[in-house]
Amino acid sequence: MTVVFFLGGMFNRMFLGIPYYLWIMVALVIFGMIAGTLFYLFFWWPLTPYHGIFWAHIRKWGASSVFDENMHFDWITERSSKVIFNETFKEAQEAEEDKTEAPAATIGNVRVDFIFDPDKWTYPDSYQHKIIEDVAEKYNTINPEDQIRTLMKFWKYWDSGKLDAYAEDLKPLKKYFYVPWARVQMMYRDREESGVFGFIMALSKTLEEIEDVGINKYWWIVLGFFGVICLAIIAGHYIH
Amino acid sequence: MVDVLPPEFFYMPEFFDMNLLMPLWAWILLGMIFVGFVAAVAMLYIVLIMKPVAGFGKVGESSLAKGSPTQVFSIWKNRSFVIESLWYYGNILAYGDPIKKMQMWFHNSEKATGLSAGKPVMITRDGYDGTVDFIAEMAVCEIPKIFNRDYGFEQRQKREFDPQSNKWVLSVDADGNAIMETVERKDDNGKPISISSFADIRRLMPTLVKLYPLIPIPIYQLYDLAIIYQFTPQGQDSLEFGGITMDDAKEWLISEDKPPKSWFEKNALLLMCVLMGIIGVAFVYMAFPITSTTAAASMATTSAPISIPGV
Repeated sequence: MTVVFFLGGMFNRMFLGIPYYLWIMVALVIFGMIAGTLFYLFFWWPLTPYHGIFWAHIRKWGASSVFDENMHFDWITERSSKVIFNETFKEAQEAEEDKTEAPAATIGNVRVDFIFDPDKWTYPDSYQHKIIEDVAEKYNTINPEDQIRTLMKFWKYWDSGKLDAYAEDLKPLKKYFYVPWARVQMMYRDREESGVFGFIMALSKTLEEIEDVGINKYWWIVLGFFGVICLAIIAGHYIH
Repeated sequence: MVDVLPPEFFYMPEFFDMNLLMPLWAWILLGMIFVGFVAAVAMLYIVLIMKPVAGFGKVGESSLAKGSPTQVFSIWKNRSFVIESLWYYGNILAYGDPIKKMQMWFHNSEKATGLSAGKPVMITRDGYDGTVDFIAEMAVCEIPKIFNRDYGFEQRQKREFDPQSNKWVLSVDADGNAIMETVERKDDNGKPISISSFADIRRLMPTLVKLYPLIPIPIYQLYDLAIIYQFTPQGQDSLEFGGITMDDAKEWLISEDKPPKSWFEKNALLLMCVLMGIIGVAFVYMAFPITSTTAAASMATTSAPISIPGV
């Protein structure tokens, strides 16, 4: 039997008394560590606030973006944003016999909802959430047929007067958020009022630059041609 | 492991006949320390200094580099939600390359700037040419509910046709009480006054402001795109707005009264490059002549021995 070395045995040599194989292994480990560090520093750490979406994607949950009156967004799970008690959103919906609402949007296969919550109803440790939990529990014990398990249903029942018996308990909570008209009028300003003249001037200059670059592009072919000639002369010299 | 390191390890390299007084391993170590230092500085710069810049690593060089990149949430009608980075400049939010991606949004209200991940964020939709303030939108969707409930309908006594007298009469029950019904309230022209679109809100806005100085919206509410699209101004598309702005920019470019550049002005730089190229070719010819001494020597050795007759 003839022994054939891999790549002519080029890795069977030694350097500083250690074979090349071991050197390559050490190099790969170091490379892996560097790659991992770079991945963490440049891709994972800067995206910390969006890790929830990644976990929701892996575990097939839904995600919610909860925002307050100043549009400060917090990314949390669907469960903590919609459910009163410690259960999944699906379980809560089944208990309420409610249909699943279509999500506002999707990121990949993660369902995303935007939820307006300036009064911290979705924070499990807030006193508002504790009041809601107490009231819902009281209501559910009296009405086992018609359970309140989600925050959406809680607000609807409160608004329709079904929770009037617990008015004293609900006193610290707010029912409405009041929006001034100025905020609406500012957003829906007429297009005629919008001053875009400065932008138009800047854009026209940009367009001019783009045009200039476009006209001169073919000259690079000429330069390339000269470069090839130079290379050919040098190569020709050495071939001789 | 080896007990004694091989002599190559202590080899001192020479550089232009100068002894550098350090063995090779020390030079390699020095080089690694230098590379490590540079890498550390670069990392600190990129991660700590560039991190506050929204969208770093996403926005490449672009023609609209005068603007600043801004984090944007885009919600599209195909229900996809994208976190991207757009240029904000002169009240306008645009893609870096306006020729490839023409959509533009006008930033109407500073209240439409939110905060996500500690950075400012603007929200865009493809059905509207302005940045979006969720709370204003939800308020707009709430107005029709309140107004239609309070003023859109009225109670009227029911009428019925009496075949005996061949007339319409007001209907009453057995006790003689009037039977009431809910009907849509109409204005003098016979049109219903209830709100069913954004145009209605805009038309009735002076009245609405007086009736409801503040718009109450539920303290806990889901942002429902289906209702939002119903009360969005029609005919104000982001692509259309971008197209109009581009057209205006082109007109402005043409209207600028300046003499056109001559052929030499446009191509002076590249003509200089060509000249440099010619000089380069000439230099190569002079520096590397084909009939070099080495070629001559090789020709001399390989040629046949010369025999001189008579010697």
